[in-house]
Amino acid sequence: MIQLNGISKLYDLGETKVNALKDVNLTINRGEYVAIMGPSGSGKSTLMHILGILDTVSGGQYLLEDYDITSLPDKEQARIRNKHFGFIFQSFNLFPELSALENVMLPMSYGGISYKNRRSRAQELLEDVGLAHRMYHLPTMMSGGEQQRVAIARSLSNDPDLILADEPTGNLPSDKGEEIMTMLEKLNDKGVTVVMVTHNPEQGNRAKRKISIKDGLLHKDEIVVKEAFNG
Amino acid sequence: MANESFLIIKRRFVNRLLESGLLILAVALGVGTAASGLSLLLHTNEYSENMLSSTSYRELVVTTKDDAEDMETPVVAKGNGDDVILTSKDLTAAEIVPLVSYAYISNKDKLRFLNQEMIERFSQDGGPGGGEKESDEIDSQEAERTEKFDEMQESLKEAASNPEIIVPEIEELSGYEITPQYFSAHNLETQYGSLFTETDMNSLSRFIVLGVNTAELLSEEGTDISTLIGKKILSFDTYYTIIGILEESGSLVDDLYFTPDTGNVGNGANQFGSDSNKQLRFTVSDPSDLDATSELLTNWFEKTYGEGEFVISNPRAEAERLVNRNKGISLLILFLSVAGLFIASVNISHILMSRTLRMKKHVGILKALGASNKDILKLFSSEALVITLMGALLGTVIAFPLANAMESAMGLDQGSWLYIGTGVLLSSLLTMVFSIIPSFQNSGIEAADAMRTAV
Repeated sequence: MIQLNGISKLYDLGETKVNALKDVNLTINRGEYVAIMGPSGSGKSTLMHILGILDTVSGGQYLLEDYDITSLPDKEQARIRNKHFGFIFQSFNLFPELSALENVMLPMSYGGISYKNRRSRAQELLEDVGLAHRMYHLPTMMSGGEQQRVAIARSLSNDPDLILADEPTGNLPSDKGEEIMTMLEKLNDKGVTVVMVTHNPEQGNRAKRKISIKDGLLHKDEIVVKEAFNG
Repeated sequence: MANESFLIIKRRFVNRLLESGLLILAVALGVGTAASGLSLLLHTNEYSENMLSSTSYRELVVTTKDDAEDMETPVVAKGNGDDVILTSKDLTAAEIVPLVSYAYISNKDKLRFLNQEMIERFSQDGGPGGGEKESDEIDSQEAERTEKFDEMQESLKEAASNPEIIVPEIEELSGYEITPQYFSAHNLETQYGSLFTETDMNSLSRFIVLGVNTAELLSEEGTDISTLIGKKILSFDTYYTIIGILEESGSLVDDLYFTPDTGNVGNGANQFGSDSNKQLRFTVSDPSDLDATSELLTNWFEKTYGEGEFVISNPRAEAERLVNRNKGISLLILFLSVAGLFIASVNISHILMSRTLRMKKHVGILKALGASNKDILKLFSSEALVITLMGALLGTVIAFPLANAMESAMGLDQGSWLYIGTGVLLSSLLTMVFSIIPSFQNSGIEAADAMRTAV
């Protein structure tokens, strides 16, 4: 599904130049559940932004289903983000001006879905995440866990092939974090590819594949053996 | 239903109502003043062009030295003791100046009417005499006054019984004593009857041509003004036969009357009993010929009457000075108002930039959810568009009274709404350009960069 060949990312800060990613080679197949781990400043968020076509690369090639993403025009990249990717962020990133329902409806409006259809789909998704009673509430009126569930509902609105989650439980208490992790696992069980950035080893071990990144280099790429974890 | 991303803009707009309102007000004031400034300049130009293209500013006026300072007042009779009296015979000067299209006389005049009220006042005023006089002189004047009074009573009685004679209820009318070329020079045609000709100038009958509003004033209510043709008007001392009614011109001409200049009729048939001094007017087709014409006429009049006995005036020269002054003032007002609009637009752009920067993180999230650069541009432009349109609308409301006030202060009539419309359109476009700049700058932000923003 995704193939990164020699990807590098250089931040030019004037006199200082920061190599956030160095010659990263990575393949992610459909249905995988990948955890990207590493300390702060290791380049894991940069890698996730590149995977989500939210950032440009300084070098290398990004192939999505054998298409070179880096050469696509902005409009096409936007269409791919809208139709194929779903994003979940640590700070939820809901729009405070919109209700939960409207937040979930928003990505569908870029997909050209009619108001009626996106409204009913958003209602369904909010019911699925247990927020039927919070549809018309603004994010400021909801708890962190509820906001993240709205964000998950939003990420699923266009039936994405890939969920990119950037420390999805980072701002949540452990019980609410567990809810979110369970939701991601269920999504993966349904066939959705999940790439999650985390610095929590326990959460990393719940993924099927664990990639460690350090100083912009892929440090480790390992399959998580569930039995070992459970044992 | 509105796209959800536009709902964000709408709700932010409402949540910052005071800031949004001030932005709209700034646009309105900028657009309003710039539109009125532009309207004033366009209107001043139009007015100036119309004024300078009129016959009055393509002619030279020749007067005697004594009359030069009082050209627009009715010319009074000149005694024989005066050095120079200009008459219609002097219009022959045009024959030696080929650049002259028309040569004519037009002297301001007033027609006083005879009616019962006038007679009563004449009786009470004690006639034309006054002051301390010898008793013989008083007796003689009293007798003269009584005779005149009886004469007037008789004339009025006779006129009132004759349906062909009009006895106006008004006291007087303004008009001009002219020679026939006046009509050609001013492109005046009749809608009823005819104009008087050179032959009529020497007739002992008195003819009159009426402007359309004057005709309305003299006709009985509900009757067609064409029925006035052939009727006579009783003035203070004679009858005038109405021979024509002019077509409506939309100018002052509609409120005037025109009678043949009688200054050169033999035996002094005019009311003053002798030749009167005239203002002679020489019209050219091309205003640039005025100087050359003036030189040739000067030569002719110097040869005929001697140096320093007459004055040739060029009304256009004074008018051009006035026009240039007004254009200068209008241009200055436009410059100041456009400068105001520019400053307002830069500030609006700056405030909108600050508003959109506060939404930088929103841009990142929207891009992550599938918005393209174009979608972001449309989103922020919509806010700029709404602010500009609402400001332009309010600016139009401001521009109309402001433009009228400025035009009135400059002595102009109310200008065309088209000028204000053009001003509103141009100034709105300028504001729009400035207000859209932040949208362009924000739409190009990298999503990852925007996402890192704390706001």
